Amino acid sequence: MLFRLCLAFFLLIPSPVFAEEVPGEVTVNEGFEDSTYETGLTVSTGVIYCDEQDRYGTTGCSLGIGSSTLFEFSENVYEVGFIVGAVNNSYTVKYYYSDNTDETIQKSGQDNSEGPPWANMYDSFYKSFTDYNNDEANTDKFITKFEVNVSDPTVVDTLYWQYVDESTIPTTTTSTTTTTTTSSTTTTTTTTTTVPPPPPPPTTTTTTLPPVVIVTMDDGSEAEYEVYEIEDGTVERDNERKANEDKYDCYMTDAQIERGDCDIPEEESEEEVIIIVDEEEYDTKEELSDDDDMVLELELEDEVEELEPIKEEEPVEEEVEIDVEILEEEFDFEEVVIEIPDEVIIIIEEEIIEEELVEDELDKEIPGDDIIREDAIQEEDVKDQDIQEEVKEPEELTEEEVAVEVAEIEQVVEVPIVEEDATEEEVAEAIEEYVEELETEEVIEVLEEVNDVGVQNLEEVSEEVQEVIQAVVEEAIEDVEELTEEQVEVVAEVLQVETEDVEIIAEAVKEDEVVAEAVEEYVERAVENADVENYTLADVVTEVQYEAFLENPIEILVDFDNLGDITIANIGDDMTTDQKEKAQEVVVPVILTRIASMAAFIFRRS
Amino acid sequence: MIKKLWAWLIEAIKETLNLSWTLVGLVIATLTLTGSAQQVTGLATIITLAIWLLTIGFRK
Repeated sequence: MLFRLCLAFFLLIPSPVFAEEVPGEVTVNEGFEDSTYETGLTVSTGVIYCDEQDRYGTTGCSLGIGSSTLFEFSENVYEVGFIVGAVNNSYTVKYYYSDNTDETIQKSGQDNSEGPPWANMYDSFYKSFTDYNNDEANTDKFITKFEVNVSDPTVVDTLYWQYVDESTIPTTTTSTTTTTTTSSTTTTTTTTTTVPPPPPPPTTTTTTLPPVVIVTMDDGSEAEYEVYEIEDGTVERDNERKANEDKYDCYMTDAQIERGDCDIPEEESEEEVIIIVDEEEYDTKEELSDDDDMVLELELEDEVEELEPIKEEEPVEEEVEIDVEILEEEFDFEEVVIEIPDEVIIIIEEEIIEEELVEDELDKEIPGDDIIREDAIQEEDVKDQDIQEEVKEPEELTEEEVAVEVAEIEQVVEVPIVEEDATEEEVAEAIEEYVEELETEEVIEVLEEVNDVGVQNLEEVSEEVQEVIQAVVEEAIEDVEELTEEQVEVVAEVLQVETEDVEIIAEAVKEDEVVAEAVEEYVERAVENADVENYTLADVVTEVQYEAFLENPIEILVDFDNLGDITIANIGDDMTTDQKEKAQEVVVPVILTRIASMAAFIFRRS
Repeated sequence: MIKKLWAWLIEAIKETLNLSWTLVGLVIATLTLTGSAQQVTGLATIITLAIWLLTIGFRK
């Protein structure tokens, strides 16, 4: 009797799942601490970002991304987890599965109002098919890849994934299966505990897994949960999320909605306030396809209250109507007369700049951040996006902002120390050596700072710093083949050209002395022409050509090299878009003027 | 022969002066261009000018 009681008690208590229970299970952690990713992971874009360590929920360095990024696994991964932080705009995470299905999670922008270090400005993602695959009735399902699609500077960190390394599993294991069924009925749920066979790919193991409960959600769909998930309120939160998704198109809990994470258009307040309480009975059935566990900090606070088991509640649908007029009569409000003086002095404190800086918290810190500015994204119409928008016009900065940016540049750029009586050549050599020693990331960092202030505003920085920046620009052009797409965008922004033109310029520098000289003198001339609007590399090229023409007109006009390489199809392919536009502005009027003069001549003769 | 050549030279200078505004525009255009487009434009300008001047008599 005692034995039976002990056995029943033992079977009633679910055993927790430990990672070690899956034979051969391998857990790989990728902390994005260096540019070499863990074996089995391929990442399509992004750079290792170490400027803001331990911010946005990250640990140490993280992966900085600014656009759609694909994380692909080479193993049969059945569990993956990661965080995505510093996202200001809505974004999606899409999982791709081995059965050629996929699943997209829609997320809204994260709240950045808390300020540095934005410890809660991130979302956690978790996807697991461990339990699903444990059921023999299910086909093995794995996560082949996932895609994080963002439109603004974002960090990804704390990535881990799990798979089974079959080579580590002993081949002589005896097959044993333990199945236990327990039924417990509450007023709202029915619990069915099943301990399924071992997980995939190993099929010859002995495993005890926690009971799985099939719960009918508020919308009638059925989903699988573990007991602890019911106890900790995950089911309720998922119901809230689904309801809010239907209602506001925001997959969020009520707590998040109340916090203001979802943009909900304000409804006009009326005198009557109607509160509808609608609670449905919980039933238990089938499985859950969407088992993402996205728990934010605020929810953690609420969890203590939500830990209570689901109590029996009769389905209620009632309306509580409150008439404001009756309330006013009951409380008899006193009228307070406020006298307004004739002159009202309003003192506006100069905090606007600080607020702007906080809002754009990643500006100038994540590589590529300046390419897509937050406020620009929020304002621009998606329909109007075209290639031309890649070249953003520099924002007009106030004097104070320019001063701040200039100070930042001088902090980033280290002018090599030379003797006081050093000649210009010696200084140039020292700068060249210093720039050559710079890592690509450092080069890009300098260029990002330059983009923040704008090349034409560099007159505020010292001449030595200007020379270093000039050398950095040349270095970036020389090494353009080694740069990532984001880094090329940064270089393009400095030169005020489109991204694809950077490669053209790099090629032209090798073949055309004029373009090489233009790149060499770009920063200097841009600073000299600070008052010229939209001054680009094309203007510098034209200036250099004119100077060369004035020095030696015949040579410039009759300088025909590599004519044999030119074909009708590739004429103009070696020109940047900006250069083409500027040439067009000249050539077209010349042709029109000629036509007009000929017409006038004929008219006079007749 | 020399007289004929001299007459052509005078005529060529006149024609070139007539074309001076056009040539200024084309030179500016050439200097605004880079790479293959610049070379093609420059070459085309010179060849066309040469043909224009060599065919003065023919065009009259």
